[in-house]
Amino acid sequence: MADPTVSVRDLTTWRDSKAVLDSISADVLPGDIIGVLGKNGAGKTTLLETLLGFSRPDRGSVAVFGEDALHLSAAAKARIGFLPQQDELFGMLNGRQQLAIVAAFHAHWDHALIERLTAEWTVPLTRRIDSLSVGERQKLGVLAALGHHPDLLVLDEPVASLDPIARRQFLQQLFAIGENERRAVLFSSHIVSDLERAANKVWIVKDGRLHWQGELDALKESVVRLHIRSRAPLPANLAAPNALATRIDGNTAMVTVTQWQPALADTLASQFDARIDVEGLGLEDIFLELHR
Amino acid sequence: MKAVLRIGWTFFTAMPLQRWLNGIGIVLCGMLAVLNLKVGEPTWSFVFLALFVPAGIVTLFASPAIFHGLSASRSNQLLPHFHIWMLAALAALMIAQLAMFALIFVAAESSRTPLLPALVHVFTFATVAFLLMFLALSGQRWAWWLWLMASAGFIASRVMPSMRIVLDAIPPWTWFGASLAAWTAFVLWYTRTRHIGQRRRYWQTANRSSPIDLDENVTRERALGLLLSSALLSTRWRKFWNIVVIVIVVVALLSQLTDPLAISIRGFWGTVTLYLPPVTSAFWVYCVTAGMQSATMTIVRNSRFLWLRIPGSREDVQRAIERAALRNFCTAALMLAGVAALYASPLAGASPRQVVTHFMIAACAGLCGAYAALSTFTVRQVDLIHFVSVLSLVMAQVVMFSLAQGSWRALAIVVVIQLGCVLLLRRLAIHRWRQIDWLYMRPPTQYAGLFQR
Amino acid sequence: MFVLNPQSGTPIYRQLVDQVTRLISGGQLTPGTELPSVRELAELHAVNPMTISKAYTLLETEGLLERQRGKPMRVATRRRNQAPLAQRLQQLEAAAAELALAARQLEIGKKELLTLVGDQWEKENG
Repeated sequence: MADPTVSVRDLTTWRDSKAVLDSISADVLPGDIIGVLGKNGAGKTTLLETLLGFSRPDRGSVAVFGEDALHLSAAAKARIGFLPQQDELFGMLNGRQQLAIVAAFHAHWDHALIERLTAEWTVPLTRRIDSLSVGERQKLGVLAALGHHPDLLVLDEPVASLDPIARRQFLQQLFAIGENERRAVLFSSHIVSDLERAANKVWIVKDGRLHWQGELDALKESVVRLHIRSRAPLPANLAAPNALATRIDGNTAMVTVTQWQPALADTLASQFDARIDVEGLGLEDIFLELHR
Repeated sequence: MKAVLRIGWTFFTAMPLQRWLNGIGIVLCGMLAVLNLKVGEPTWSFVFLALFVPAGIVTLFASPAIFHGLSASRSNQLLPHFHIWMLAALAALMIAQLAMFALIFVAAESSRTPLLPALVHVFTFATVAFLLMFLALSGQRWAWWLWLMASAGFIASRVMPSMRIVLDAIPPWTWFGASLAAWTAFVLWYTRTRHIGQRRRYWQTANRSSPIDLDENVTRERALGLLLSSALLSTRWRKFWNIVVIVIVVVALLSQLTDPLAISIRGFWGTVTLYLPPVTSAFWVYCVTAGMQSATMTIVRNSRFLWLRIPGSREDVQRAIERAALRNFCTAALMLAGVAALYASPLAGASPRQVVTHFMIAACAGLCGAYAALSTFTVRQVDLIHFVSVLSLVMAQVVMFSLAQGSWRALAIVVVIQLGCVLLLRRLAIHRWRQIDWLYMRPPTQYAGLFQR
Repeated sequence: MFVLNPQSGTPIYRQLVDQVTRLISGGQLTPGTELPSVRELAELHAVNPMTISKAYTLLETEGLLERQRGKPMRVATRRRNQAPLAQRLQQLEAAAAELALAARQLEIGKKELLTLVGDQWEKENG
């Protein structure tokens, strides 16, 4: 297996005697497109920025390309592309100047790619940035993070202000990046449907912990909703193994479980003398169920 | 009524700088009062002056921006009676400022001119300052030029006796009438208008190109410099304040150099800047310390931009930041040398010791200010530590300033103490930079400048 | 050609595998038919190409598709190896359980149920 692009071990950050990041361990492998999900204030931005060394963790360590995130060499930094949640563009410049400034820091800046994407995404480069719309600024920010073909691309809410067409174009670009197996993308978003299309792995951040990390497909296969219909009233203390949420209504019950195994249906069916229907859940529903 | 008071309070407290200055003014006030009693010369004008310099002048210049910021907000415009509240608060502010001025005027026993004409002049000045700056902020570029011309005319009236005679010949009620007419027009317009232009930079050009000369082949060094100074370029207020400070300095210098005895109403610029040694030296030292401190703070806050762009650890970023701050300091020192040269010139004829003392103390103050910003930045944007550190710096420097007037040896001792202080701050800076957290230490966002926190 | 719904509870790769399997067993996809390339399909449905290739790889190991050098995947021409009977029966188990449960709920006896299944079998096999 290839060396992980980012390797996080026991990452913990305290703030105001509350753990903003709580013992997080995870790996980002080359070829991964990881979607980071979490409700507002769950610690997504803290996590992403701590991974890149913007913040010093209280415990644990992060290695990016095998180097300590707090002490990255020029070579390692040149392989990182980062788009912060709040764009850091200079209002008094125009887009072309902004990109020129970013390009000045990279030996291999792909002008052709940026020209092409500028045209495709219709980013106005000759207007002052402070006269651009929020969405246009966001596109420009993404361009600024892409131009040097980073091997690790970290995008904090890259599509929040984009229209559906621009979001689709952004996804296509993400796939183009993902085709190169050396590259890894880590992006947070609240637009779950995009995440479902793009990500092959998901990190769900809840209360500073990685509540789930793994393949998106595995997550969907693991979390299901069971509809139990029995002939007799169901016991109020109905307990299915690994249940996230249980709602009982007389003879019927709705139970969301994780680590779903088809064999469980038989067990429950015979236990309650009931008919069991299994409903697969979309990522949005899974996210909601995990936050009950 | 509560709303009016709230808005009125906002005029004095909206900008972080204002809160600082008001705080410093109050402390300065207490200190000077004690100093005065010890010396045994109960000239209370010191006290009022100390209050007036920060609270009065800064508020006078800040109020148009605050007023505009509140008025231009669409959601505010939908509040019932909003425009009436705003105007009432503005009236209260004007009255408060005139009252403050009257207090100073009465307290300054040496004043021989009657109070009323003086008040009228101040009122006129406040009116011109407010209306022109408000217009300029609303996108009327010409207002800036008019404002600069008005300032220049004011200076001219200070230095050219003939012009002063002409101005003095105009009866005060003319000024009063004109100001009142301007206010009436403003009130009529303000209560009817549905749209107040968004704030724009006064140098924002009409064409859509960028005013910054930057081609596509930027070198890494230039890009680095731009990243660090971004806020200097993007905060229109910083630019504006620079001009205000320069105007004040020039007026103060010229008025002192040409007319050291004038304590007429138009002499108050001179009064607040250079006439009363303890107060004015404090003001000088404060200006240089705070100026360098705020310039350095900008660089420190922009350090986030460097993290993924220059290799190495936090120590490496710290070194880059320190270099940038020192470059800034060199520019400031050059400007101070210019001022010193002006003092040394036959025009002022200050003694070499005076010139050297002024220069050295101011330069050391600037260096202290820069290192205070480098070392006492607060990652979580709580100004308190920072505020206290700069305040105590200024206080210590004022004391040292008066000590250094004594002899060459006293000056040397003071300078050594100051440089020792710089070294200590540098140590602290290096220590603290190891922990810097760029999750919180962010460059100020474009529109956060004015109503930050 | 395929209906892929990323928002569904069924993973995208699973949807594709199921649909290809169904189309092949239903005869709509005849042996030798070329399938759209990974890139085409990913672009068309705006999903991660890795997901598509995961499905294709799975179908290949099941023997339904075969990879051709430098060309798109195609439906396997050789008849694929039959899985052992026990394994095939296992795939029917869930359906059988459901049927049995429904029959019990409708109070239908075992004999009647088997007759019904038998009739259905006759009908299907003409």
